[in-house]
Amino acid sequence: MNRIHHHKSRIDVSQVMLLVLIALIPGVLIFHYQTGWGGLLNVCFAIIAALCFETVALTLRKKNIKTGLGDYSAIVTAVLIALCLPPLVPWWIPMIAVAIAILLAKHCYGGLGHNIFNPAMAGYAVVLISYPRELSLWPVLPEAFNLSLSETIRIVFNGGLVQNTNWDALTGATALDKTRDLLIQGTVTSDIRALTHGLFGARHSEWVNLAFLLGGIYLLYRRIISWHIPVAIISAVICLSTLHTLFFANVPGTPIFHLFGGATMLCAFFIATDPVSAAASHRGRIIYGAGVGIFIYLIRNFGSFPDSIAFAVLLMNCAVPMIDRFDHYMRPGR
Amino acid sequence: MTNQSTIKDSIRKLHGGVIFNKAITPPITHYPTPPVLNISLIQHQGLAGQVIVKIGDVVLKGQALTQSMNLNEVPVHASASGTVIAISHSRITIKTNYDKPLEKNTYSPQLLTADQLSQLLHQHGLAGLGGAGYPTAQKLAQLKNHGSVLLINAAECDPLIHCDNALMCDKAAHIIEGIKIIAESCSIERVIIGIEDNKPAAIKCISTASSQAGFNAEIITVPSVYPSGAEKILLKLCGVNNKPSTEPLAKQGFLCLNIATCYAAYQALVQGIPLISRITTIVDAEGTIRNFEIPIGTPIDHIYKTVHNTHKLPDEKLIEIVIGGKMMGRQVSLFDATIKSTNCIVFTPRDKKTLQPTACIRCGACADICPAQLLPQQLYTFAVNFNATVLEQYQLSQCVECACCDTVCPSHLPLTQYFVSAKQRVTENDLALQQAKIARYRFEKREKRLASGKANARNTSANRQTRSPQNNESDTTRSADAKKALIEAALKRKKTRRPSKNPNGNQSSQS
Repeated sequence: MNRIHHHKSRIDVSQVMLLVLIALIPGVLIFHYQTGWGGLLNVCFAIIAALCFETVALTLRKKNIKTGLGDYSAIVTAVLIALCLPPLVPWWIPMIAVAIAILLAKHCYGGLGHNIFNPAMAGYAVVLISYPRELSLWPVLPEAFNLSLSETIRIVFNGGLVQNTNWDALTGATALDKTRDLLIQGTVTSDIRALTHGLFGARHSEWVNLAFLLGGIYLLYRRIISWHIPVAIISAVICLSTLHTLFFANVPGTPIFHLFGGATMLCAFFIATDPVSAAASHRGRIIYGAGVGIFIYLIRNFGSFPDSIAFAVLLMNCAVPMIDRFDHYMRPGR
Repeated sequence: MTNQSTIKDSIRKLHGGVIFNKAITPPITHYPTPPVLNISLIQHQGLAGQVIVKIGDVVLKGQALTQSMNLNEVPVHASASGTVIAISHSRITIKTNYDKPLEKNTYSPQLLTADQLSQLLHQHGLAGLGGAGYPTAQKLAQLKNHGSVLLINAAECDPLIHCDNALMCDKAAHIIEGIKIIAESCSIERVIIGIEDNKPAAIKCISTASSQAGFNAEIITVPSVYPSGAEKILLKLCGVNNKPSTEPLAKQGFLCLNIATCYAAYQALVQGIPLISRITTIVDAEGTIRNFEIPIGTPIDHIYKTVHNTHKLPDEKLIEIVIGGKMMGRQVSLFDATIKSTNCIVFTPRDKKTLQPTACIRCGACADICPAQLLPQQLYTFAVNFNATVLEQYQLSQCVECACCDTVCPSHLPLTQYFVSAKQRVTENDLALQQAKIARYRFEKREKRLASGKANARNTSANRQTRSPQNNESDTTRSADAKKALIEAALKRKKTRRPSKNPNGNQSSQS
């Protein structure tokens, strides 16, 4: 029996990815405003590398290159990686991250739709562990965006911020990093808050988080993502940080600081919602999202890395097959 | 109990589904008798009956062409009078030459028992007219616990099918009469008629007719969302609790009949007319929707010529002929003919571009739209990497094959096709397992018998020091001889019977 398709599908994979890229635009613009040309250069390098590696992988796997590149999934992965990297890193760092993401995390598992781990986070996690020094140096804001394009390119091609010691004055840390350092030094909680908190969230990164939230709401409105994962992540982070501040003294981060600090919003709306590596059912997605949120908070506060989205997402990716298989026990009427 | 039918809204809402804008239902038009009829021998889910006509025979309208005592083998009838000109393994061709009205035999349906009813419906060739074509008589026979629920399916959710709606407006009183006879002879307590809420005229006709007949039926209006007319979905919408089960609905005590089947039952039981024509919706290439009462076995090319008012046949590369509606339809060719379950024929210009399926990205759009609340993307994974156990855990058997998931898949995967073939594979596997179990049981029994037979033979022959059965036969004492002859005969019987039934058993006995 051959069934017929009178319908054109509502939306196809490339349209999904294109809408994700559109939703990322406000975030990228704010990122560019805050990080200067360095951030935009990262995005460009990552996209070029992604297209190259995707072509190589598709050729090796004897797949149609046009349809493989045409679904824009490689570009989405590249942009997500670039948005996690600090500006003024050496040019080969985004390249390595993208190579790991596309070649190892995606095509070694069988290409789009078959990857167990989120490719962007797998690539980012590898460079985060391999090059901790490069990845923890952020230029001090707002001076960074005064840097000219030619100067930025010179730094990026000469070993990045780490090799250019005369730029020490420009280097600093993110709000999450600073909180950790100050906490180790034994600074009073109110002082930490004064130094790291901005208008409503973490200093500086609150704006980029707000932009990602807007992009995420657009995706929800267009029904590209379902509400389950973002809501589960955000409520898990809010719950844990509220409980933490209520029951323990000396907790510098307020719930709103954690929501609008680091890359929480990027993770909640763009990274963890990657359907391929997330759980399948609505029930499963709530469990998955809650797990990501819990790990984000735990690793941020008790782990040795300043931000934790990569590890939180990768850890929950491991649990997805199990969540999916146990889903039928949670079905109503069983 | 008041003898008044009630109209209610469905309590439950449908999960997912697709909403269509349905056109206005056209009235039923008469269709001319075609010059040639191709009557398929199998027009239902089951096997063909035995052909009882020869080439050259003159058959009358309504005359049976096949017969069988097996409820699974529904007989077919001549839709018009004429001469049988060809009989193949799949169909009988009749050249119609004159139109003699069929002989009518009427029954007194009030006196029927359930078994009699089932036999009568079988002899009049009733099979489900909703699309699947399940033998109605078998459904009635399967309904073991009487006093259960009779659900009349009048939802007709496909956007292109209008035949039941037209029938309800036209023949409401007859339909109600048919339902009444079935409900009374099967002693059914609760009769539910499920109608979509976009058919106000049909609802009015049916409720008036049932009030006039003094028949107590619940008319439940269900939301007009595809696929509210799928049996299992409709049962749920009407608030009847049925647990997910692989058993047929009739065995669970739910008798689900299409409204057109009830009308056919009325025709068969009261007017004595077998199932020889049905209302079919025809959508022509320009998109005009018409309802015709078409004789069963009308060739599709004749229908094409009639509705398009032409003598030229179209190029099959340019036109697509689909039977069964927009969503659950399947493609047929011009040389096929209508059967009992042909509720809709659509002629559409063929789409040039076909969408290439890509890998599943697990987006979950299919799970959101699935009216049976399954997880199609998980089912797809385990249908491709076939795993019957996991498929059962994800309740593949509850899939109604409505193809809603196909319409939303961003990867253009033909999901329903995978599910249908996976279901077939599951049934085949189950059958093979069952047969293996039986074979194993028989083999073990046989081994045991052989062993005991050998032991007996050894015991008796030990005195005589002989092994060969021929020798044994030649010199034996009287009592032992009788025993041995018995064993010998039994063994020979077994040996002659075994190879035809089970070659494996024969092989292992040699080794």
